[in-house]
Amino acid sequence: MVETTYTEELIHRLKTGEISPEEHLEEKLDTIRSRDSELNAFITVTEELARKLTQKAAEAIKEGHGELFYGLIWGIKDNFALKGVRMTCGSKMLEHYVPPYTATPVERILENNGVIVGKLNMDEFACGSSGETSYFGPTRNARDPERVPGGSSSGAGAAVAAELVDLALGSDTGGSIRNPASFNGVVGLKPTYSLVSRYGLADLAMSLDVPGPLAQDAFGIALAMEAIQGYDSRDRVTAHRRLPFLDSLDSFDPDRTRIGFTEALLDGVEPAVRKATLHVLKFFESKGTEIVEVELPDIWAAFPTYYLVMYPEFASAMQKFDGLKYGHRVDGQTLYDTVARSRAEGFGKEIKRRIIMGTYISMAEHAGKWYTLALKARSMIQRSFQRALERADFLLFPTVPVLPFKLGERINDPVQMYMADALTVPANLTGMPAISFPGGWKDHLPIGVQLLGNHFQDHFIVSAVRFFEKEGRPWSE
Amino acid sequence: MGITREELLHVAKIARIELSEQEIEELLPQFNEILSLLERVKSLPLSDETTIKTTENMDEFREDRVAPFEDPDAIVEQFPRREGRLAKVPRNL
Amino acid sequence: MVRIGFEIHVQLKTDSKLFCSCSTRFLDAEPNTNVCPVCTAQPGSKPEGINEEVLRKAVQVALALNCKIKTEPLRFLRKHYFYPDLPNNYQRTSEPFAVEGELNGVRIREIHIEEDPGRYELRDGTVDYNRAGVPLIEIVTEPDMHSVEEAREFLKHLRAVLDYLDVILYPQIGFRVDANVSIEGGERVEIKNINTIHGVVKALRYEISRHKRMLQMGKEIKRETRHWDEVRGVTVTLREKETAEDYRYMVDPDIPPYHIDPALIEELRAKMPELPFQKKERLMEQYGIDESTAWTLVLDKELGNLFEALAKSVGAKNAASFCTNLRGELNYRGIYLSEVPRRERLEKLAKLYFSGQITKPVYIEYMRKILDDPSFEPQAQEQLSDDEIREIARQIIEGNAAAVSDYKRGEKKAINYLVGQIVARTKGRADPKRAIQILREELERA
Ligand SMILES: [Mg+2]
Ligand SMILES: [Zn+2]
Repeated sequence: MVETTYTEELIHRLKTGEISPEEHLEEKLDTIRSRDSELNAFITVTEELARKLTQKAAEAIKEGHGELFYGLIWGIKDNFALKGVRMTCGSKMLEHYVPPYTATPVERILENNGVIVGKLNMDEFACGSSGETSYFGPTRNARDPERVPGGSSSGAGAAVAAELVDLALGSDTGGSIRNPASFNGVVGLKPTYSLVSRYGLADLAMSLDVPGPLAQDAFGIALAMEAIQGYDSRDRVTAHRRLPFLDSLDSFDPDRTRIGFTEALLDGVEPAVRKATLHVLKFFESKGTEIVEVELPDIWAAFPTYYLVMYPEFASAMQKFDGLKYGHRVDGQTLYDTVARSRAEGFGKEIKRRIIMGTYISMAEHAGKWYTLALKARSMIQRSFQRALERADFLLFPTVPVLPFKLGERINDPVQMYMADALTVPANLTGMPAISFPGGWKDHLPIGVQLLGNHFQDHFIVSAVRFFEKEGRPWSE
Repeated sequence: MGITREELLHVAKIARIELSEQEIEELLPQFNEILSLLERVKSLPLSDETTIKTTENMDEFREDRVAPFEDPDAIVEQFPRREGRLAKVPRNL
Repeated sequence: MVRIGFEIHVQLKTDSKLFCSCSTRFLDAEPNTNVCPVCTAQPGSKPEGINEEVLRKAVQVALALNCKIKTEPLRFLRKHYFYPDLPNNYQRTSEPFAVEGELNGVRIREIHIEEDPGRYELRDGTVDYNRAGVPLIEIVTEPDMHSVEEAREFLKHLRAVLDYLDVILYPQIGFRVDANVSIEGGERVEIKNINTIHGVVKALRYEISRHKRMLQMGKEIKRETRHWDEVRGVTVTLREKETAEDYRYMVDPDIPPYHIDPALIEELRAKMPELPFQKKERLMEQYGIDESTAWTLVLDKELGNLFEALAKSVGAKNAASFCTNLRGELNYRGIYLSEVPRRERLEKLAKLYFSGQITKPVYIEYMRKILDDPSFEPQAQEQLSDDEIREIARQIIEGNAAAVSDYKRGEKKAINYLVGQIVARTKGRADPKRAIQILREELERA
C-alpha cells in the first residue's frame, strides 16, 4: 500500500513552499546536464525561458494561485509549436524552423504555471517506434542506454523516467506515447481522439493524432489532462467536453468493474510480457473485479489497417514541406528540382518510405482498392471494439509485445519495426483512450501494461492505474 | 503483384522526392513486402460501411470576423529566400 | 457544331478568409501581412472552421441560379498538387453543394466552395500569401453554349446576377473563367484562367477558328489544356492529357462535415433581392420600355439604378435614351458603370442636357470626359454677356427682315423663330430667357 506517489508528493512540496520552483528547476537543470549527454532526450534546452517561467510560477504561488502545476517541470515533444523556440520534429527539414505561434496544449501548460525546460527528441516527424530515426541522433533508454527508448515520443519517455522533467507532452498516432512509456517504465495516456486540441501539433495522420501526457504516475497524468483537455476553436474536431480527471482519481471501485480480456491479445507476445500482463489481471481479480472473456477475432487486422490509413494521411500532411516557405531548401535549376531536392535532402529514410507508400496508395488508380479498403476495415475494427466494451469497462493487454530491444537491432527491417505497434494501434483506429503503465520488470527492463477504455472514459482508466499504483505491485523476474 | 522500378520512380516523381540509386534498390523490396502485408486486409469479411466518426462537431461554423494574426513578420522571417516581404522561389518561365 | 462550357471562379465578398480569421482584402495590403499560421500552412496549424458567411453567399448564388441544394453532409476534400502559391500543396475544395441549375438557357452542373491560392509571380519568382485562403465558389456549366455570342450573353447574365446579390469581393476583378470548347470532329480543349468577359470572347474566337483551321488541314485536335495569352492574343499549350496531374483527392480529416440547414435555405430564399430577370420585367411594365432596352439597363446593375433615378427627374424616355448612350460608351471601354468614379456626375449631365442647358454634341463630349477623367466636372456651358447677346440680336434682326416685319405686324410668334436663330448662332451659350428679353428691346428700337 503506497501512501503517496512521486508527482503528488512533489506538488505538495511546491505548494507548501517546502521547495521553491527555483530550487526545483536548478535541480532538474543539474540532472539534465549530467545525464542528457548520454540519453539525448533533448533537442533544445530552454534554460532562460524556464527561469522566467519559474519566476512567474513562484509569484503565482506566493499570491496563492499556483495551480495546476506550481512550477512543475515540463518537457515538450519537438513536434509541438512554442513561439520563438525552434521546432524541428526531429528532422533536418525543420532544423532551423522557428514557429510563429504556440500550440494550444502548450499554451494551456503555460497558463497553468507549468515550466517548460525544453523540446524533446523524437523519431523524425513521429515516424518510428524506437527513437532511432531522429536527425538529432537516437535517444537512449533511461533504464538501459544500450537499448531503445521506444518511440516516437522517445525523449519524453526517457526524460520522465530519468527525472530530467516531471511531466512530458507527447503525441500518439499509433502508440507514440504508450510505447516509450512502456519501454522506459513510466505512465503514458493516449486520450480519446478529439479530447485534446491538436492545434500546433505537426501532423502525422490527422484522423489518428492526439496529444497526451507522460508522467511518473497516474496523478501526474490526471493533473496534466486537467490542463490540456477541452474544446479549442482552432481545432474544430475537439469535443465540447471536460472529464473529471482529478475528482475521480481515487474513485476506482474494483467490485463494480468488469475487465475485458482475450488470449488473442497475447498472441505472439514475449513470455515476460505475457506474465506481467496476467499478473496485473490477477491483481484486479483478487480485488474483486470481474474478468470477462471478450472476442476480438479481427484484431490481427488492426496493424495492416493502421498502415493503410496512416500512409495516405501522412503523405498528404507532408506535401507542405517544399523548402519554399520555411524549412530546408536546396536551390535547383527549376521549380521541380528545388522542391524534389529539398525534400530528398530534408527528409530521412523512413519519411521518404512513408510518403512514397502513401502517395502510391492514394493515387487515382489505387485509391479505390486501398484507401476505401482501409476505411472499411477501420469501421469493422471500431465495431468489434465497441462490442467488446459493451461487456466490459475496459480491456487489459500488453502495450508492446516485446521488451526494449538493442539499438540498431531492427532499424533496417521496417516490417519488424512496425510490429511493435500491433497492440497500440487499435486505440488510434477506434479513437478510444488507452493508458500504459509499468506492470512488471524483467531484471532492469520495464514492461508496460495497457488499459483501453470506451470513448471519453479516459478518467476512468487513469483511476484504475492509480488503484494499481496504490494497492498493487508490478510483476518482477 | 508488386511494383516495378518504373512505377516506383513515377510515384516518387508525383511525391516530389528525388531518389538515389541506392535508395531505389533498398525501397523496391521493402515496398513490395509492405504491400503484401497490407494485402492481408482484403481477406476480411468487410461490410460496406466506411463511416468513421472522429468528431461530435457537425455543423459548427465560424463567424465571419477579422482577427489579424499578431506576428506576420515571424512568418516572413522563416522564408528561406526573401525579396522584401515576398517569398523568393524559383521562376517559372 | 460548337460546344462551349465554363468553370467560373468567383471570390466571395466576406471580411475574413475561408478557414482563418485573416482579412480577405489582399489587393491593397502590403505583401504577406494578411497571413497567419493557417493560411501559410505552418506545421501544426489547422483550419479554423468554415466561415459561415461563405456558406450563406454560396447558397444565395445557388438559389439565384435555380440549383438544387444538397442536404446530405458536405465534406471538404484535399486536392493535391505542388505549386508555390498553394501553401499546403493541396487545395481544400468542397464537394458540390448545389447541382442542376439553370441560367439563360444554360444548365449549371454544380457549384462548390474552395480556397484561393496566393499570388505567384512566375517571372519574378515571388509569392505573396495575402490571397491564400480567400473564399471562392466555382460554378460549373454544362457545354450548352453553341456560339461565342451565346457564351458572352451567358457570362453577362451571370455577372449581373452576382452583382445583384452583391457577393463579389472585388467588382473590378470580377471573376476568372476556365472555358472549354470543342467543335464537331475534335476533342475538347480547356483554356485556363481568363480574367475578363472580353478576354473570354477573344480567346473563344481565336480557339474556334484555330480548331476549324486544324480540321481543314486534316489535323487532329487533341484533348489538352491551354493558356490564354492576353498580350499576344493567342492560346498556347499548357499541358496535354497524358501528363495530367493525379490530385489524389482525400477527405480532409480536419474539417468536420456539415449539413446545409433547410431553414437557412428558406431564410435566404425569402431574403433574395430582385434579380436581373425580375427587374427587366418590372422596368418594362412600370416604365413602358421595350424588352431589349430593359435588358440593356438591367445587365449592368448600376446602370439600372441610374435609369430609375433619372426616370424620376428627366422622365423614363429621356432616361432610357441617356442610359442606352452611356451603355455604348461603357461597352467601348469594356467596363461596368460601377467602375466609374463619382457617378453622380452622370445624373448632373442628364439634367443639364434634358433641361437644354447643353447641346447634344456637348452632352456626348461630356459623357466621354466623365468616363475618362475622374476629375472632370460637367458644367452648363459658359453664358454670353448681355452685350454679346445684344450684338448677335442686332445681327439677326438685320439679316431677317421678313420675320421682323411679321413681328411688327403683331405676329408675336415670329419672335420664337428669331430666338431660335440666336440659340443656334451661340451654340446654346445664350440663356434663352435673356435672349428673348434682349431681342424684344432691340425689336422695339429697330
Ligand atoms: Mg477549381
Ligand atoms: Zn490566415
